[in-house]
Amino acid sequence: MKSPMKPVRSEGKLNLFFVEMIIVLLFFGIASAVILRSFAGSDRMARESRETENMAFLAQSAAEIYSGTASIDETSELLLSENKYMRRYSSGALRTVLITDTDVFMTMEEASEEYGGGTVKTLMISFSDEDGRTLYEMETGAYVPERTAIGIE
Amino acid sequence: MSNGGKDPIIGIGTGYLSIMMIFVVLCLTMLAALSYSSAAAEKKYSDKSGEYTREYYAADLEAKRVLAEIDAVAAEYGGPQGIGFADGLTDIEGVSVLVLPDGAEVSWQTPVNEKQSISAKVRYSLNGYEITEWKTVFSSESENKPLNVWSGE
Repeated sequence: MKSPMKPVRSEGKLNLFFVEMIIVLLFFGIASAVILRSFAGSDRMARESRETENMAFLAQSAAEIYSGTASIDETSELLLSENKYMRRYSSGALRTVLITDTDVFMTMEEASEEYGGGTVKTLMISFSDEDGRTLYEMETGAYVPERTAIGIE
Repeated sequence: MSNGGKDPIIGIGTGYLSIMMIFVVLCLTMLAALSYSSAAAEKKYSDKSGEYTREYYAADLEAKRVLAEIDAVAAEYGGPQGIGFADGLTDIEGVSVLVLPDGAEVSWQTPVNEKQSISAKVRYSLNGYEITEWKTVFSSESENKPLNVWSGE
């Protein structure tokens, strides 16, 4: 096998080598800039999908708790008992918490709809970033029948 | 230190740098493309998963609203054996009633998306109601649609 190392005898060849090196470096610089952008885009997308999954799981947990309890207080107590969350705002039917290490705010807002036989309580769960941009939201609810409806014991 | 153009200079010949650079750039491009496509697929999956969670809980809430309407009719007519209970339910869209000797069975479906629905059945008796079914089923349209399988011809 012929070795790539070979004697370069003339000044012209040396110049050619340097010209090639400059062209290669320039092309490599441009190519690596494009490739790095692609890697950065992949990283951003991976982070976004991880955030979406986490938000959907958290919202699902809140929805399941709320379906069983129909109470925003119990939902926030059971859901946010771990130290991963920081309570920011709590008033009446509204709870806002900061999910630690993510800069994502989770807001839960409760509302009621009266029917002849009971009440449908709804819970709007939304996630937003520091700028207030909504990242994910969903609505869930629970039906609370009145005892007087048809003699429910 | 000049060699006066007589002593050979040992170096890499012209062209080898270009070949190496092309190889490196190709490898990097391939890695970048693979990572980007993998991140894009992951993001698509998590977006779909989040969207399904949202659709499911919206349908679940809608089904609970239908239950509240049914319960309101039951409260108005004094239970499943009250005169007009079955007729009262005809105003609620998509609800079917099966009158039983000791009460009534009310069933309905709430669409989650094009393919799935929440199927709910509630059994009313003098003591109140009991949810006997609350599950996700394939919509009749998608169930009857055959899978696009290659028949070998």
